[in-house]
Amino acid sequence: MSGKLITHLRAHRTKAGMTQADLAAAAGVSRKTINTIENGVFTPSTYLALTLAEELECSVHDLFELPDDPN
Amino acid sequence: MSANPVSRARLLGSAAIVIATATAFIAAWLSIGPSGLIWAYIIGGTAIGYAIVSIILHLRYPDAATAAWDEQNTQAHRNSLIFGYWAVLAVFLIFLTLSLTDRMDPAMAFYWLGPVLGVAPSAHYLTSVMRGRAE
Repeated sequence: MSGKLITHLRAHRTKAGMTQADLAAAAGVSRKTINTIENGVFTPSTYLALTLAEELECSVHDLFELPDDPN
Repeated sequence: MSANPVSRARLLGSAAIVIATATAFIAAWLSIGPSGLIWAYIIGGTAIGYAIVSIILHLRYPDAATAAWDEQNTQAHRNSLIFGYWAVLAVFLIFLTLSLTDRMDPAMAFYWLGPVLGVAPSAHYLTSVMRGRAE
């Protein structure tokens, strides 16, 4: 399994009117973690992905998607 | 620098340990400055001081501690411990070679492995912070 996760977290966060610090506090993680998820540097666990989706009142599939299979 | 007091203390504590140990290594290499025992007190005192401050901050700011040890930082910490293992193994082999060729006192090699063991994970963690992979 490889490939960079495509993330729409930033779009949903700004749509919800939250800063990275707001979302980090709500999800119980550091602001840096939110930042690196948004930049595609860090891939969150299933638990954190579900938590973020819950906080932003959307589905995990709205926040993240798999890259197109090159094969 | 992070606004999280636990993250901030971890960063400063790690930096202090790395700086103290690196300075001790350089001073020992150049045969200048205080004795090895004094450096041991400085490095050990720094590490113990950081541990005490860290414990106090964890108790004082439990929510900040949770955020400071979230999954990304925990992963960075695990990576730093893995790096520490290989770094100490590599340094042990170097020291072993130096000892067997009579270029280093075995007792000295043994004592220096302690600071290496302590500083390698901290140095790796600092690198993770500087690369934006941890806080």
